[in-house]
Amino acid sequence: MASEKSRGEVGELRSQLMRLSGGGSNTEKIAQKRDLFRRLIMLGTIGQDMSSLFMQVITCAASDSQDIVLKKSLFQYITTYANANPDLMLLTINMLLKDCGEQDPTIRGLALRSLCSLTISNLTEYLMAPIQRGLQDRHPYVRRTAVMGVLKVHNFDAEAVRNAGMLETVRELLTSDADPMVVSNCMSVIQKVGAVHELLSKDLLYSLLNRIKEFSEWAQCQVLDFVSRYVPESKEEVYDIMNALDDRLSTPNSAVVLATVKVFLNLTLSMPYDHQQVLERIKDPLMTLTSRDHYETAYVVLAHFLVIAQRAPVIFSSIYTSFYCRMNDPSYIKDLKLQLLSAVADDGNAYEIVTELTEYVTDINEHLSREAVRAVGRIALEVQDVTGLLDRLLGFLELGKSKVTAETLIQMKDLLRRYPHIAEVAIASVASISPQDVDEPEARGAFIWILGEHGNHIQDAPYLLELLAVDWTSQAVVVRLALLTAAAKLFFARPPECQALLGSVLSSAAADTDQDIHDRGLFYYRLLRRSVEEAQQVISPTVAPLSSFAEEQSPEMMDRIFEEFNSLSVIYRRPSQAFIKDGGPSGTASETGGPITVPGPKANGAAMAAAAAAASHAPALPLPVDEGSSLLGGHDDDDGSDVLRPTSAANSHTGDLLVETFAEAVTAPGPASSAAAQQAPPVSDPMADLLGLSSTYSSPSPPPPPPSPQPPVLALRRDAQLQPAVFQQLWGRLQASPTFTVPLSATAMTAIQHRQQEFCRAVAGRGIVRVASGGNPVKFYFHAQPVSSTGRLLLEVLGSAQGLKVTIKAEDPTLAVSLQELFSEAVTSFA
Amino acid sequence: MISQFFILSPRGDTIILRDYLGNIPKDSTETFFRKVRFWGTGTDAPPVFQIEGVSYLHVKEAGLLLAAATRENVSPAVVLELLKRIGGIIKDYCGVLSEEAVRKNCVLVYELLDEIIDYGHPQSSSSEALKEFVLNQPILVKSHARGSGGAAFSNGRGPTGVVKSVLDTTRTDGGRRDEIFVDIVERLTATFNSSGYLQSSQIDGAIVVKSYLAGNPAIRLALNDDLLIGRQDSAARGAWGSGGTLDLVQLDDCNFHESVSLDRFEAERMLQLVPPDGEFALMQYRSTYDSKPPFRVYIDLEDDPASPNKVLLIIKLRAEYGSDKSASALEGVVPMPPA
Repeated sequence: MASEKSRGEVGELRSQLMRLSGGGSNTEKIAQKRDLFRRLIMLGTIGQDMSSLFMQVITCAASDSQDIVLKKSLFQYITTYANANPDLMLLTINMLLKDCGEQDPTIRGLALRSLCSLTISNLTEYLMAPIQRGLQDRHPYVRRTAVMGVLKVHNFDAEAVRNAGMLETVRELLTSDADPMVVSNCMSVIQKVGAVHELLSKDLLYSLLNRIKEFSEWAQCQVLDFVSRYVPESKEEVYDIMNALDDRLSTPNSAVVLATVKVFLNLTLSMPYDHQQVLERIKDPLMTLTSRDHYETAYVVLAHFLVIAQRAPVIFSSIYTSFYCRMNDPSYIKDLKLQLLSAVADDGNAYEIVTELTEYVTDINEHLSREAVRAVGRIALEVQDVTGLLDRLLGFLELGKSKVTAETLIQMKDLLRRYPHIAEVAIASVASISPQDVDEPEARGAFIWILGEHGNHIQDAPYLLELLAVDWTSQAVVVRLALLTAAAKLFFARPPECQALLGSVLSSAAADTDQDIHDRGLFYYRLLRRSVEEAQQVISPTVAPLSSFAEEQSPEMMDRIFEEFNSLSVIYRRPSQAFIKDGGPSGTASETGGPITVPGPKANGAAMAAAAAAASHAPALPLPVDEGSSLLGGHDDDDGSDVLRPTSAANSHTGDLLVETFAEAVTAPGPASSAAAQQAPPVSDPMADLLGLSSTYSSPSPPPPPPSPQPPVLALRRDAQLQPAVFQQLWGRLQASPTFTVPLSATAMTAIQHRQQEFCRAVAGRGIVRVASGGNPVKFYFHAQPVSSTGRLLLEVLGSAQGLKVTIKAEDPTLAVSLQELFSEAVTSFA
Repeated sequence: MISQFFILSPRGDTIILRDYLGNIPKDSTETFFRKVRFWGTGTDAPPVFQIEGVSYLHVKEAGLLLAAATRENVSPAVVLELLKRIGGIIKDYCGVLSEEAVRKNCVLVYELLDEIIDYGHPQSSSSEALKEFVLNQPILVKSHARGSGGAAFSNGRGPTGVVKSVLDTTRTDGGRRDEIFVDIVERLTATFNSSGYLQSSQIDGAIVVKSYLAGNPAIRLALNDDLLIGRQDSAARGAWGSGGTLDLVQLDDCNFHESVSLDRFEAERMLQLVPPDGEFALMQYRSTYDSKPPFRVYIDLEDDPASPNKVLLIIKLRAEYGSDKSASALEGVVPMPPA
């Protein structure tokens, strides 16, 4: 139908074109032609193919070639369809070439532009001469069009452009042309050709900067891009450039402002003090851009804010209220604001921010309320006084909104991974949740993880897990994996209560059709059969609290995004390599660009946490995971699950068998069951045979992995605590050891200055705990306490241009030297 | 820079499409529209996203989607500002920006577009400079925006809903009218807590000019003498607690249009400019200093004594301005959880 209709329309247009082609010319006829061409273009826009009318269109327009409006329409038609009619191309080219010699500069320019748009490579020869002439034209409109023509030709025949010496002409125009638009297009060419660096001289730059106000906003952005690649020779030059560009920060165009910001940030990278000043300076202009009605540009500016805030949260910690959401902000703005709020949160403003976020948690928009919970979780992970914020999170559990509960549990899990000591406070609220109310798999997984990890504080933990294990088959994969691990962990903590649970879970896992679950179940089973102590070391080792999450963006990644400031990298939060394919313009890039990825600790299934913990030990284990299927009688994966089907049918009693097996085989950690362990059953246990496991027992296995690396010379307590008042008192009393300096580059100093919390956390990882910090240049006071004695060690750390100047005072002065080593090492590894 | 530019109607029809580099799949407009339309429940599609290696950047203006597609790592700010500018230019030339206006003037729009963007790179982009190259005459359509009450406010533009093309200034048939419209548009955002106290407030304002003056004469605009801008200014205003602050107009920050000369601004608060044709924001400003909101909101939530299953929500809105003024097109929105 549609094609018939379009054929009808095309046919009608054809007859009209032919009707109007003949005879003389008058104004009425021109008006009719204009209208006809308008229809032609409209139909073309909605996707109808008008290429078959090519001949008629050209003849029709030819008879009125003096009418510019008609000519423009004709050019438009030609550039759209000429490529589909190569045989008519020559006709077109001749007509355009003729127009390139017209008196009227507008027609010359138009013809040249249309000519260059004919993108067929073997026509290059026809284009060169008119472009060369155009570059020397006396009218800037033609010159600027010709410069763009160079770029177009360069795109499909770079060789021809080089041979004709056009690039030299373009360079000449760049420095000498009086028309800013021509210069701007020259910059486009130079950028595209990749010759910026070889051309970028002080003279060129200064001449561009001196006339920057003549340029259009877009050309200003190009100039600014040039400047951002320039390396000044001296500090004076940096100040000169910055003074010349300072008023560009007060323009209403976000593109110009952001380009200027990039220049300022780049120029001062190695000048910490000025860098700080720049950050202060750009705050207000950027804020003004975000408050406009144009959400789209506000979005871009906020995304750049986020990049800056992650590098230097201190700068924005006082203006956090500007990032509060407004009711009619679109969701993409709200999302960014929530990320900003969690990025700028510190010990001073965290409560205020969380109070505001708590309002969003009850918002009717589920997306917003979830994101708000996530933001609170992120903040709680970062601040020192986590217990205060914990109350807020626990409060969310009482709201009775299932999505909020789910998200809160996911956040609680991450929080407990970093701060295990808060478990006692948190656990009561978590335990009061009924597992059936948590229906999202990820949240349910998190809930199960908490039960498994901190089950010894939860009276009902085994019972709650049992409730979930009953519906084994209806649970999602992540939930089943989490259940398996949680049951095993809890078994080590409370063997008598969990024996039955573990048995049933293991047998369900062995019968599971999911390969991962199946393998992990068998893996646990064999470990337990071998030695419970060793199994415990593998399944439930004592892990140090996490200091960072793998999902967090690494500083290197953030630096690379920062290098690409004012580009799409900032929006996608990935370096350009990750989303730009250089495989030529027509390449079919298959990179699936996701939406903006959420930075910060991305919540992940509890199973992931467990898997990660297990994986860290995996290489040392005797049983590679993929061996599991071959052990089941040489079947491949699919068959393996088939073989297991009968087992699941007989689940009711094999389950029991397994339980018995464990009851006897397992040397439970508790002293009570150690007697039972003496009477280990023979290998002919029916369940073990059924799974074909007997052979694995006889296979020799290497000893368990050696214990973690040797402790450092000076062992420090990780949980050392000291009140600032006590610190002051001690500081006054003690003798100082000799002062030393940790030499650091200016960039590293800037990093420490801006990421004080991160720095403190890195140092705390070595047992050196912050007492107080702040100021510019930055100051820190730390203390440490050796494991072996109660003698305190105090540090005063002062930032300077050369690095960190450290003074140590110790109750036991012999330890000062090892502390010095430890601290220097911590600093260097952070930098 | 950009590979494609297109304008889609609210239903997703392509009204304008221009391809510059030919490296974008044919169905790009559909791919783009589907993504925007079905982004996810309760969320809005962000202005920048990527599908299959193609980055799509778009702005929404008057229901239309103005979008650009690219494979390069462009500056998103440049592209979005450019899209916005294109919207503004169409409005300047056609009188309004609407689906009908673009459809009726599609040849004019293409003509403009060819001058604004060449081979994906932005060229001239002021309504003023473009006049030289544009030959088609606009077909004016009637604006519907005025009739629908609040629309004039909600789109953040001045209430002066004048529908006029900048090409009018070149008319020689005697029908020309030299006019200039200056509007001050402010948006006040205030948050009250549940007991009716003002928690935070901010004013975002702009002086919006629509100029149709033939020959572009210079004009001067004087602002209040007691205008204070930024922190430096407020530090210099004299002693704290001298009580003089109430009469001052304090701004956190502001910016000015390119055409404005600030030579006499520091001393006399005088703005001098040669206004270009069409609409532009002469000055934009932001203030978080204490201001008296025109309304106060009080809410009260109580159990209904008549029924255990009901609550009563009482919202009181109090006008704080004199009785000689009145608010028009006032709307109240109470968000409610879905049933």
